[in-house]
Amino acid sequence: MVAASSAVPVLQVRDLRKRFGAVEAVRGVTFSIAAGETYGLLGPNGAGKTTTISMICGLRSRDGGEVLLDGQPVDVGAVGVKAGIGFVPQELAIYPDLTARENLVFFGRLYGMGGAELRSRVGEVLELIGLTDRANDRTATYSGGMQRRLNIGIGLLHRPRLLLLDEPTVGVDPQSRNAILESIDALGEGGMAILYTTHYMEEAERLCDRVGIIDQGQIRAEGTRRELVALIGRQDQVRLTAGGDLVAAAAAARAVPGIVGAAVQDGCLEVLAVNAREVLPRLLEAVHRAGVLVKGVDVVEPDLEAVFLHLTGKALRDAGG
Amino acid sequence: MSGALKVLEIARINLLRQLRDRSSAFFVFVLPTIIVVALGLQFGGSSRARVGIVAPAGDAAAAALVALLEEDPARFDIRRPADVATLRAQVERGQLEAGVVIPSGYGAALGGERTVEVEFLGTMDALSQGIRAPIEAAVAHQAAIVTAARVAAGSGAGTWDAAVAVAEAALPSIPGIRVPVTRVGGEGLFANFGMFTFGAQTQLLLFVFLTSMTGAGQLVLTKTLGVSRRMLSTPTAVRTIVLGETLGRLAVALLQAAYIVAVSSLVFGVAWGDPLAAGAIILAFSLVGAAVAMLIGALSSNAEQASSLGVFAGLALGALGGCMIPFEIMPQVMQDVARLIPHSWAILGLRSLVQHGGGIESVASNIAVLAGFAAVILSLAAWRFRGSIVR
Ligand SMILES: Nc1ncnc2c1ncn2[C@@H]1O[C@H](COP(=O)(O)OP(=O)(O)O)[C@@H](O)[C@H]1O
Ligand SMILES: [Mg+2]
Repeated sequence: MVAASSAVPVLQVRDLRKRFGAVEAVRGVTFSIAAGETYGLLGPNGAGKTTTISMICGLRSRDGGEVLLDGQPVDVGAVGVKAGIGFVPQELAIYPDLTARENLVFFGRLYGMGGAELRSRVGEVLELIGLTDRANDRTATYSGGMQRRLNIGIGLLHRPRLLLLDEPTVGVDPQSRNAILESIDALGEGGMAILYTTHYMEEAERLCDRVGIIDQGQIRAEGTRRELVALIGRQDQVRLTAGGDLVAAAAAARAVPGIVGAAVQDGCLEVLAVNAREVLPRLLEAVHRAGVLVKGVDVVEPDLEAVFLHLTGKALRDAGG
Repeated sequence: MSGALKVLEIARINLLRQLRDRSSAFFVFVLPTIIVVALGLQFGGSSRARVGIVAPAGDAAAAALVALLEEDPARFDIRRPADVATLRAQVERGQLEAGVVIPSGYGAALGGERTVEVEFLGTMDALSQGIRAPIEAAVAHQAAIVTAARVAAGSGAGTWDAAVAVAEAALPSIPGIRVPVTRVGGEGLFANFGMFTFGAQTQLLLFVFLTSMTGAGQLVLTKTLGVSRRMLSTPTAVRTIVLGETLGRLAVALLQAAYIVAVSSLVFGVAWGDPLAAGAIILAFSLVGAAVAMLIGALSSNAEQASSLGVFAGLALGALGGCMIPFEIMPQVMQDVARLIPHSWAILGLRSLVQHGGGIESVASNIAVLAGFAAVILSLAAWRFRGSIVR
């Protein structure tokens, strides 16, 4: 099965383009996903992830390019082929005044299911997303995490060939988040092709077989984690825990010879250097002069955040974000 | 699942959600019940115009005139207030549509030389004026007998009573002596048609339309919840989604219409005419309501905007279309404007069913015009709705 499916990818996206007035949201995105593969689109807010996913599932018209599901073109009007796609939108898309079961049955019918098959599948999905006990309560009474889980469950109902997950863990408590990631891991093993967008490096590293790094509507690099990290070459990633004006400190750091990039992320200053040991004294001095108090210094194994910094000169998330 | 079944499924979910919403349950069932019961209490559960008569006791001629007015029970609901003051007060308060005062000594006066006056009490609106014609006809009928009898008595044909007897016997066979009453400017509004029936019909149309308007807010909510976009990611055509959403609104409106018809006819005996024809008018009208709701929902960007636009449209179209005041008392310009409003076609159709007792063919043009309104507005709404979810 693996051999046959890896020959023809489940999803092929070629040179996808979309413009909103002056904003070129997607500028020639190309990638493909094989059966059983989980592909991550990692990029900051506004990178064009949602717009890309919307065009893949035929929710938005595109200005250029093509989307093929099992070789069949997907478009807004291509109704039949959509049966092979499960879509989990970034924003919750469930009826708050209906129960989880009613929501599932409704969308199941739209996916073309019915009768005993639908009933038993709804039971299975409720079990999978851990909502069996609350299945007959209105979803307005659910916690944010439960609503997110239902949002995902609806996309799984009809066992699609391709599952599109658009930042499914945004705004979810850590416990629910972990449960969600675990169940997505399990889905990939079931042979589903999964497209997963996120701006969390850890999620991309944990879930995805391959990752496309997207910024300003373009995929800047693509590959396995190992391949992507190799792009950095023999650079070192230095993480400074510090207090004060970190943005000013990042600007100061960038001016230091031997520093490839510096950006603020999650209250830390992330720095890429050609050689950490050589550059560290000058870096600390520059940061100190910028009026920032350094509390800790870590030289860390480069990760996808470092790759993003390397490629774009920016952090994946804004300061504090 | 085929497209048609998906349309039904989307409609079913809409209906379920709307019935679950307490405020809309109030709008759909409670409020119309209150209005219909209030109408019923005000108009005494009668579908006929109420006419109060004060007549001298023991006067044969007066009794004959009253009998004449009571003759056609489909026309008037005759009440007998104690005195003229009570009668006047009841007409003023709208508890009676009109009043007739037969003066004391009426019978004797008829035999005299002077003109006998029968007083008609009514507010100066078209409602009372419409009632006046049949009453005048009854009085004229008696006047014909009196004229004949006076002529007979004057020419020495015997006693007054004998002359009356001769005149009464002769009248039906004497051509041309009955005073014909010709209504000028169309028939009276309330011929065969009571205030309550008028009220029930116009309130039904007003409410069914307003109820549909609550669907506009619901539609916006579906849009902002992202559910309609999600529907489009399933193998479901835009056309199917639009039809399903419309049918959902329509189902709620029809449910309410059926409820109002049932309560008003079973509890208060309001007549609706031929059931098939009335049903077709109500169906076509509800479709217009659903279409307008879809259009407002598709054009609005938030639920508050949709709700206020919807209520405004419901009340404004209702008023212009003749749901609040009858066309007959509107200025000509407003009557012309009313022809452009769907409500007027529904009102005139429903009224004609009760007044003339015709079948569906008699109101075919009303149904066609309503269906045309619905088709045009619905196409516009579908186009805008598609635009708002696909972009
Ligand atoms: N409907 C829209 N109208 C105008 N601009 C849009 C619209 N949707 C997205 N954009 C713009 O396109 C860019 C990409 O947005 P999006 O695809 O939502 O990014 P992401 O999902 O990666 O955060 C952003 O600059 C955003 O402002
Ligand atoms: Mg997004």
